[in-house]
Amino acid sequence: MNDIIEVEGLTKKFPPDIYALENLSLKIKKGITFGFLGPNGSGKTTLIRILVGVLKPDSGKIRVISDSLSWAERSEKIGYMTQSSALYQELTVAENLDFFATIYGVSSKEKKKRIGELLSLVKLEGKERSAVNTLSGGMKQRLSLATSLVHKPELVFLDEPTVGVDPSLRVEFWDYFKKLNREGTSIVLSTHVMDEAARCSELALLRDGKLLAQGKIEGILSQAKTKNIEEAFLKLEGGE
Amino acid sequence: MNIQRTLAVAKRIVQQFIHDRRTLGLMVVVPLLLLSILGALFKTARVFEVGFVNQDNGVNTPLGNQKLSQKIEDSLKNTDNFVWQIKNLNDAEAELKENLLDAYVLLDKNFSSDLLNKKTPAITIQLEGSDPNSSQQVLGLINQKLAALFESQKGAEIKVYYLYGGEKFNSLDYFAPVFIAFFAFFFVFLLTSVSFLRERNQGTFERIFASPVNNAELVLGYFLGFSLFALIQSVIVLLFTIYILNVHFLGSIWFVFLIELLLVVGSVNLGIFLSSFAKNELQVVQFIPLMIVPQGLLSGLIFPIKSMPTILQWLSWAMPLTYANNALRDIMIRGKDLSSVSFDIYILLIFAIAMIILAAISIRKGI
Ligand SMILES: Nc1ncnc2c1ncn2[C@@H]1O[C@H](COP(=O)(O)OP(=O)(O)O)[C@@H](O)[C@H]1O
Ligand SMILES: [Mg+2]
Repeated sequence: MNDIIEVEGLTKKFPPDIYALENLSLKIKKGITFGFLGPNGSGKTTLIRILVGVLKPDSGKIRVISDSLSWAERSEKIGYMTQSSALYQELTVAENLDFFATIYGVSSKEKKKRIGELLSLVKLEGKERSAVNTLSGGMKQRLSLATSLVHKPELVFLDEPTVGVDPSLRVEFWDYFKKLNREGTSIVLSTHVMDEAARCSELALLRDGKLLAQGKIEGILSQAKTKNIEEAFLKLEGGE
Repeated sequence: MNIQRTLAVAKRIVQQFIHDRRTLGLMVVVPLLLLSILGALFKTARVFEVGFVNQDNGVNTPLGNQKLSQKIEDSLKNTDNFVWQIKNLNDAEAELKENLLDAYVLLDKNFSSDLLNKKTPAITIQLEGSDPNSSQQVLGLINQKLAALFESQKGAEIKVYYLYGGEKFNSLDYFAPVFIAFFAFFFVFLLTSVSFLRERNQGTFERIFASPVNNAELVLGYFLGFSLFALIQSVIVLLFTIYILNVHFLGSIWFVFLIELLLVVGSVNLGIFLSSFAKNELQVVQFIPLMIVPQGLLSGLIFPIKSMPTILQWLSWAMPLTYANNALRDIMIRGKDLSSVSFDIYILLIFAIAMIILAAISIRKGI
């Protein structure tokens, strides 16, 4: 089994009758960075929420990692960074990291080392004792990323991880994602920024809950017979 | 159920409190302040002028004419809050009109013979009545005395003694144990609702629900975290009432904690349940007049349930705090044992379980 995620015929409808996802099928390979690309409202967040298990689909089959795992076993292998940072505002940076590490079963011996590593990755060293509500938006975004990686998950969902992160740190983030891929971690992220799409190993183009295309970026471009992803988007959309 | 995850949730609550010292302070200071005010109010209770008109003809016995009404007089005379004046009916009526008396008690001529013949003897209480509040108080005091008398009545023999309490007991003793439970219930409800609402609004619930933490661990973690603070609050309030306000407790202090624990389980889960209907913190505050104030008024906390209109009494019996108050008073003031309040404890258990079910149903609402 080379795919870490398999989705078939997935549909999610919100009342009254918004089809956030419509008959969506895709496969995501292990150990790559897979991107959901689409404008606001295209269903990226809904898809991620269904895959991490906080939202129930109306119909369709999904497999994430393996069907034979219990809820707790599977969710321990998954990291999830929400679109807007989900942190305990009154707690300090270190307390937030410690909390998420503990509920994901990181041993107390390993916790300290791991928290140190992540703090330096997201450039929050020295901020351990600061309450989250005193941090800037970008800092919160970075801490949010750190809390989703604290337990070394084998599959990470990142919902628009680079929004509000300054360009040089954004480059570092992407380098880190590649490093995680090399270590075998699978990353699924969403973005509405077209130029970030080029950094993903594979892509799914979403529009109004429908899958326009999926595969390697070169494949999508040649399928649409265009040179850049924006044009591909327009062509594929019109062609439907 | 994973202990580590449960404790992590509890620890998170504790940390939140440690960073929010003002709320922590409020939890302790508010009860102390309110109990001190109550204490001061009860210590300066009003003294009432009460007339006593005894028209009892007595009964003839082999030992001569005996007036059973004498016992009533002796008992009422010894009430701290009364200035007791023996009057004839005309004087009593005149002085009541002049507002020189707040009330008079009239025993009619057949009082002794009625009592002997097991008929209900007639006791008339005439109140001045312009201030409903003092009327209530006078009536309450007289009733309290008479009830104690008649409960202990055996044939013609009337013994006068304190059924509960005693000379040293004052009203604060009556209120302190139930207020401690009320404060725990109130604060835990409020803080759980707000914390849960924040979890929803700041998105941490989304993270929790994607994590290995399940509903049971989340709720138990919340319960443990809040119980700790309810416990700290109660210990401080208890010590304060015992050593500063000199409140008398007959029963074991542990019993207060037991009742409180049951209430806090209910309270945490009620908070979780109701927070799913609130969109912001102001809406949580709106639950206070809905959930807390009626319980404060109708659970027998201050106003006795027996003297309420029937409809309100029904409402009273639908409120968990009523049973907690009953049990606490039975044990802490009347010195009864745990088995005699088992009914109240079962009701509190049912309440706790019902709230757990409601919380479990609503916990993932809107996610
Ligand atoms: N909880 C919800 N209730 C109702 N509608 C929702 C909900 N979540 C998302 N939607 C709708 O579903 C569609 C897809 O939203 P979303 O998945 O957030 O898109 P994206 O993340 O790509 O911006 C939008 O039209 C949005 O309004
Ligand atoms: Mg989104």
